[in-house]
This record gives sequence, structure tokens and C-alpha cells, in this order.
Amino acid sequence: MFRGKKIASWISLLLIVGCLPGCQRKVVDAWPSNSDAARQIRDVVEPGEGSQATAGLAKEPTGFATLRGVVQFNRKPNVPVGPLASGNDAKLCSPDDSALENTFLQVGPNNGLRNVAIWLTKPRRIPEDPKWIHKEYQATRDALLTGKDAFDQKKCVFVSPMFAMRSTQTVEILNSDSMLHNTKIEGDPSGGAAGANSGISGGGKVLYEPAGYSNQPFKVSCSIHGWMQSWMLVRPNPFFAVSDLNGGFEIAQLPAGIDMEFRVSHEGKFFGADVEATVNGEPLTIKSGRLKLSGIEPNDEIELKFVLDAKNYE
Amino acid sequence: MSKMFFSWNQRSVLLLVALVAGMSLGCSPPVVEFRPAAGYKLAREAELEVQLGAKQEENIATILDSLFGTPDKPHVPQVAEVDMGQLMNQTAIEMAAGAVAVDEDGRPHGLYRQHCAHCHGITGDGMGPTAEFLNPYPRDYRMGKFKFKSTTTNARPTDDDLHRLLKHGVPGTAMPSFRVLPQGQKDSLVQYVIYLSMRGELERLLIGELLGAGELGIEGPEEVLLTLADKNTAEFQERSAWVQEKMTSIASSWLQAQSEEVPPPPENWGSAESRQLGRDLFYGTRGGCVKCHGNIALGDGDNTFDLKTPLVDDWTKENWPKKLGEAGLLEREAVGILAERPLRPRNLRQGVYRGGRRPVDIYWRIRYGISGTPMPAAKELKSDEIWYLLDYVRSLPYESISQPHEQLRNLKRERL
Repeated sequence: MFRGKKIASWISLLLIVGCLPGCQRKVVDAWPSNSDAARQIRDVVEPGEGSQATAGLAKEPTGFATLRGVVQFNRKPNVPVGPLASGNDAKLCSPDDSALENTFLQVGPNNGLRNVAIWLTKPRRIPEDPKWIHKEYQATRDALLTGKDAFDQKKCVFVSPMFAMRSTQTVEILNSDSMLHNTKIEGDPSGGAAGANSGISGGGKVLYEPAGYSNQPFKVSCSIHGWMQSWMLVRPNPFFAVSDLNGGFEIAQLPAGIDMEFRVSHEGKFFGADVEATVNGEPLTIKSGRLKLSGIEPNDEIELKFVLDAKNYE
Repeated sequence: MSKMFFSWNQRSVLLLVALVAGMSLGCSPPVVEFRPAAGYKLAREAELEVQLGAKQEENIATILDSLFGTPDKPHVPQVAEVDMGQLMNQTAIEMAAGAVAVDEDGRPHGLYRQHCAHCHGITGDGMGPTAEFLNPYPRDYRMGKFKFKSTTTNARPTDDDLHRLLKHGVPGTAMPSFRVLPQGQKDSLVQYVIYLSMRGELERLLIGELLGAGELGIEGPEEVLLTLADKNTAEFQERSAWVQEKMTSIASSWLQAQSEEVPPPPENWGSAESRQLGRDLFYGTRGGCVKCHGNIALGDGDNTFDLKTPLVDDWTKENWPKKLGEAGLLEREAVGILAERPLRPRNLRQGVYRGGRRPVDIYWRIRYGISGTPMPAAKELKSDEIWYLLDYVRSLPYESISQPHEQLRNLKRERL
């Protein structure tokens, strides 16, 4: 009897000791904050008498130039191109038994890479002014992208694995299949590009109005067919391009005489230091997908070349 | 002596242990702080292949502190081009924030900590102490996404939407009704939820920007966004303007939230014909509900069993990206990310609708989808079709197949 009580007392003791560290799960520590700096930053950032915040102004352009380029592998990458899906879904999506092949890593006969996006990031704000945006671009500013310019899905893959548009435009999201697709557009809160998630019946369409822009391509997927994925880039200006099957791209009527910065990415990944880049034959540094160009004169034709190491894609 | 439970020596040891325990807990209240968006940070770091530097983390915390204050001393941010008074006021925010107390005038404080923080967390990250025991997990406000609302897919909820959730709770979940709270206290909590959501939205933008994903061109973990030493430079002004722009955009999205008008139901709504039309849509390719909700609407459609691409919501998708290695798992465990859970489409035969059971609630769910989940907006369907579909959905719990006990009783009667 006494022995039992002794055991009970030791168990009680162990319980008390066990409770000391508690049973709460691990949590992340708060990041330290500098409260003095916070007070001063509040005075600057919040609008009011003390506020000094104003958007930076860039130099005015002196004319227009053209940027052309090519993205190529140093050799053909050895990537298995298997079907994306199998089973009932695949049969429904592709009744003629053609494989639902990965459409994203599309390499041309010259080892060019399709679907690489390049876009102007600086100056950050391009005024809606003919000095900055050539009149050629005015006609399509508020266009409805339809027909071959629309965003389509066929045989359960997205026809445009990398789709780019202006934030002022509206695009038709088509479904050229006979079955339902559920097109989920992630959007990008950093620039205000809206997200959307719409069920689209076979042969149907819905409209997507981005309302804002994106700072990098964001994902588009189908919740019904999990293998379907694409990327979308929405920019507040017309200075962007997507490479074709030969890896070629062109941005025409680019404002000249100003310092510019571009970003380049493929399948959501920015080009890094492992990519050999040249501008008019001269080496160019790329960091986190950013490349800087300056000294561009009106009517210049700038040639960019990116060479990718195939082993990084295998 | 032998009848005593503990001997004197054992009592001394117990007393000593209790003293040590008491001392280790201390007498002062614990410091309550906002926690960083660790899951988002890890996801972006992996995607961009860069790490957020310690200085950058401090800079983010400082900027957030400057605009929103702390959990004990909150601040309603002033935002360019936006009348913040329409969204929240300092008195209401102070009533919800801070420690639970009553002031000299008898006004309550700390309502959020009293009623919400144990599930939704001090930061509104949905990671309060009880969160891991709940299914579904409590809402993480910081994406600005709310599931049950009357606005379009991507829009913020209206004040009325949040009030409705507070008043009725979320059926089928741990979220209770707060109907008994006085209106002023409910107002205060709704404003505080918006405050936490706005803070979280800005935090995410700051993390993305400092990781170099944004538009300011931040390069590397040593570079911060705002340094007071650079206060008079053009770069500082541009970056301050960027913070203002983002705050304006976040606040505007809340202010612009508006319920969409719901057209009246067609004349034959509520009839057998209406339910049949709804049934055709449910199983047809225009509605396509069967894909997820299943052949007999038990929430067991083909998609729910796809192990390669299980249905998950946006919060899970972010915290648990595909192809996460062991290091990634350990990183998430170390910061207390809640375990991954697949999403189950609603079993429509139970008659439990999380966003409310009124026809208009279900109309909104079908028309605008459920934000942050795979449930899409039925943009293509005409309003009459949505009314038919919801008529059929609402009839499902009353079909005999939905009530097996009733069927058994009937069988017994027949045998007798």
C-alpha cells in the first residue's frame, strides 16, 4: 500500500517536471523591430505635413529603339518528353490517343527555347505619353484579346504555356475541349493583377480583366486536371516579349536615351549567373534575372543573346 | 505518518519543484508580438533561390511596426487617397487589441485575445494554440482571402459578410456564433480582422520585394527597403512612395468590396421541374459539379482521389509546395507550420453549408466560387441556372438516400 503511494508521489513529481517545458508546439520567433526607426518611418511614409514620399522621376526618352534577342541551349537538352497524364482523363482529353505531352520545355531545331519571358522593369512608371509609348502601341492599349490572341486550352493542355498581356487589356479564356475546365489564375498581389477561378464548359469562354499588373509571371492551372499548368505575365506597359520556338523575341519601339532594366525568366525561374548573356556581342551580367541596359540611342537595334547550359534543364 | 500521501521530505521536494516552476514562468505577463509570415517566406525563398537577410527581416518588422503598431499598441495606418475612417477607427481597434481588461469607464479591451486569438492567433495567421486540433484549420487572414462572402472571387469581403460570419459562425467547423456580443464589440472585432488582414497583406508584399521578386530592384540579403540614413535621397523617396502605393492599393481593395446584386429566382423555382433542371446542370458539363462533389454528391468526386495532385486550398499550397525535400519539411516543422491536409469538397447530402444555408448564400457560393479553394465561379451560368442548381443542391439532404435511418424505419414498417 505504502509502496503504491510512493510510486504515485514520484509520478506526480514527474508530471510537474514534465509540465514545466509545456506542450505547446514550436512557433516562429518574432522578427526584431526598431521602434525608434519605426516612429520616424511613420512620419515619412504616412501622408501628411511631414511626408516626403514622392515617386521618382526618370529622364525623358530621346526616341525609340528596337531590342531583339535569342535564347538558345548550348546543346539539345536530354529531357524525357513523356505524357503528362494517363488513365481516364487522358483518354477523355486526347481521344485520338495522341500523348498529352509536356508543352513547356519546347526546344526548336536551332536549340532555341520557347516561352522565355522578358520584360521592362525600370523605369518603374512609364507615363502614358507618346514620347514614352509609341503611337503603334496605342491601338492595342485597351484591346480585347480574342481568336489566336486569346488564352486557350485544348486537349487538356494550355495552348500558351507563357502568356503575356498588358494590364489595360482584356483576354478571352477559351476552352476548346469538349469537357469542363476550371481555369484558376493566381494573379499577383504585388502589382494588383487579379486572381480568378472560373469553371468553363466545353466550347465556352469567360473574360479575364487583370485590373492590375504583375511583377513576374504567375501560375495558371486547372483544378480538375492537375497536370495543366501555364504562366501569365501582365505588364502596365507594352515593353515585353515571349520567345518563339527558335528562341527569338523582339521588343519594338523601346524608349531610347534612358537607363533601363529588364527581367528574364522561364517557367517562373529568373535567369541567373549561369546564363551566358551578351548585348551586341559584349558580355552582360545577369543577376536574379535582371539585366541593365543604358546608352541606347534612337533607332538603335540591340541584339541580346542568352546561352543556357542544357545540363541545368536535364 | 504512514497514512500521509507524501512524506515530509517528498513534500519539500514538491514545494521546491513548484517554486522553481513558478519562478520559471515569472510574474510579468509574456511579451505579445506579431509573428512573421514564415510559411510565405520559406515558399518565396525556395522559389526565388535567395534567402531573406537578418537586416531585411528587421526592416520588414520595423516598417510594419511604423504603420500598424504592435499587438498591445495598435495604430490605424494613414493611407494616401483613402479615408481610413470608413474602414476602421483607433478606438475600435484599441478595444479589440491588447490584453483582456476593462478600463475605468467600464469599456472592454482585448476582445480579440478573449474571443479569437486562441484559434486565429495573435497575428491573425490561423495558428493559435488550438489551431492544430481543429479541422478545418482556422482562417489565416494575411492573404486577404476569405471564403464565405457576397463579393466576386478575388474581392475582399464586405463588412456585412464579416458581421454575418461573426453572428452565425461557420456551421460544420469550430467557428462559433458570437451573436451574444454587443454590436459595438462585434464592430470592433470586424475592424480588427481587417486591420490584421491589411497588415498581413503588406507584410507579404514587403517579403516579396526584399527577396528581389518585386519592382524596386532589391539586390541581395544585405539591402534593406527603407534606411533613415538615406532619408534625403531620391531612392528613399521612391521607396517610401512604393510603400504608400501598396497601402493605398490594399486599403482600396477593402473599401471597394461590394455585394453583387442577386437577381430574383425564376417563376418555376422550387418546383420539381426546377430541381430537375438543376440536376442536369450538376451532372452535365456546364455545371460540372459532379467532378468534385461526386456521383451521389458525397464530396467524393474523381478529383478527390488524385494522389498526385490532391485538392488543397491556397494556404496549404503555399505552406506545403510540391516536391518538398526533407530539409523543407524540417524547416516548416521548426516554425510551427500546421500539418498538410487535403481539401474535401462538401458532402452536399448533410445539409451543412459553411457559408450559410439561405438560398442567397448558396447562390453566392456557386456564382463566385469559394476564394482560395478549387471551387470555381460559375461565370458562364445564367442567374436562372444558378437558382435551379441551388434548388437541386438544397433538395439533396431530403432525398431518401441521404436519410438512411429513415429508410431503415420504413423497411421495418414494411416487414411488420
